[in-house]
Amino acid sequence: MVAAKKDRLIPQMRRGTLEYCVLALLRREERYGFDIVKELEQVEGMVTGEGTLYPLLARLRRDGLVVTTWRESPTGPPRRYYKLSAAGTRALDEFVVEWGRFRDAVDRFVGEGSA
Amino acid sequence: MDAQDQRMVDRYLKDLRRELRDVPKGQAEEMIAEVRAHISESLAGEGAGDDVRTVLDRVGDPATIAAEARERLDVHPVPVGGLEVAVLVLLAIGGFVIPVFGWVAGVVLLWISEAWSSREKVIGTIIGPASIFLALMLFLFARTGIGLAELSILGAVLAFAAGGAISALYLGLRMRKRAGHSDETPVRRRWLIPSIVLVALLVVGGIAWALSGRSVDVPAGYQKVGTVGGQTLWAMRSTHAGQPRVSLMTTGSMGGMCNGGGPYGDYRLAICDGGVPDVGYIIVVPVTPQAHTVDTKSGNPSFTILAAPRGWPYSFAMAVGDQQDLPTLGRLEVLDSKGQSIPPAKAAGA
Repeated sequence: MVAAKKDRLIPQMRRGTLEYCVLALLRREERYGFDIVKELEQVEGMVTGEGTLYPLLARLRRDGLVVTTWRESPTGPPRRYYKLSAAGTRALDEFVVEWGRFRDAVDRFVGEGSA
Repeated sequence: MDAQDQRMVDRYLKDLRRELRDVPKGQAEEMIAEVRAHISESLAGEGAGDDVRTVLDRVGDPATIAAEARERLDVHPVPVGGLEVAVLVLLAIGGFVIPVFGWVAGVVLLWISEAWSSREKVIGTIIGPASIFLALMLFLFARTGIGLAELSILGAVLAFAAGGAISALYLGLRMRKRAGHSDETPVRRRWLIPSIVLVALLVVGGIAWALSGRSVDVPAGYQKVGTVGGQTLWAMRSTHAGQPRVSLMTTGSMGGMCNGGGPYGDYRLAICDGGVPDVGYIIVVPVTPQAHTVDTKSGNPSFTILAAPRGWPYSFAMAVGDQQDLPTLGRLEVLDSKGQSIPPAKAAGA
């Protein structure tokens, strides 16, 4: 039972935080979908099934957290670039604060050095 | 990328589109376009070299992407319940249980329900009336010799039954597709198959009822004297103002019968008044849409032939008379159901 819970917890945590990872990726520069996927894939386990990222991007766009523009690609057809909107920046900032608190709180109990 | 690879990609995107069918169209198309771009970047971009199969495997199962899309975009399957079952039952057989209104009630509930898209609702609404219309057009254009009225009413009833069943089936299938995505609806889905079976049984029952329950009650005194043009002809002998009189009616006309030479509903019958000893034979005349009165010699029976509705291929105007009247009514002919002229002796029917 403990194992079953763990099996669900980690993917769910990953799932819940993935959108902020995407927003964070866009904080400094705008990126296109394929690029975002490849960047996330650098970290093992962040993306399961490359295609599943596009529903998330569609959601972020629908909610106005990102805006998109078409830009010419040197190799092929134009690419849709995703850029953080003001609302997206705000949401990301809030999350970063909350996440810091949360991580510290959890670390306090489970982290190394806790007795 | 060769043609075979292209086919694989196309098939993959087609699967994805199908899986995304209940996701709002704009977002579905956006995701499909993005996945398409992703695939071509994977195949053509730097570091490419993987074959199409590997690339598609990495992109993932379309069903998984669609499930993710429904979750991320909060697409919830519409719950299916009593309202939807009522819609299916009413559309299929409501029009027979409570004529017309049962079906109308089904349409109203259909538009209240959220289980179908507007397009599906329009289709579900149109199928019933459209099938009646089609059936009537077919019967009007196919100039069958069988009584048109009989065929039209029967055709309309059958078409309505078929239309109701088809629309209920169509909506049932569309509904099931929607419900199929939900983890919460299986309990309700169990209702679906039984209700489809129930509807089918009721439709069959309705058709049987429509076919058998059409026996016409003919007023006392009338006797069956034959069939003309697929219509059963009834006659009654009586006396009117001291003169023997023959009254005629046909069954198979809209909802009942026509009688006595005057216009009844859409039908008009000619009636011979006086001096006819018996129903000798029946004259069916093709007439123009105007009313004709053919007066025979004074003292002889007068035949009034009234027109059938305009555009009908076969007239229902009829007259009865005695053999001896024929010479004076030279232009009248006895016609069989195919419009062929037949000798009076044979036309006597029963």
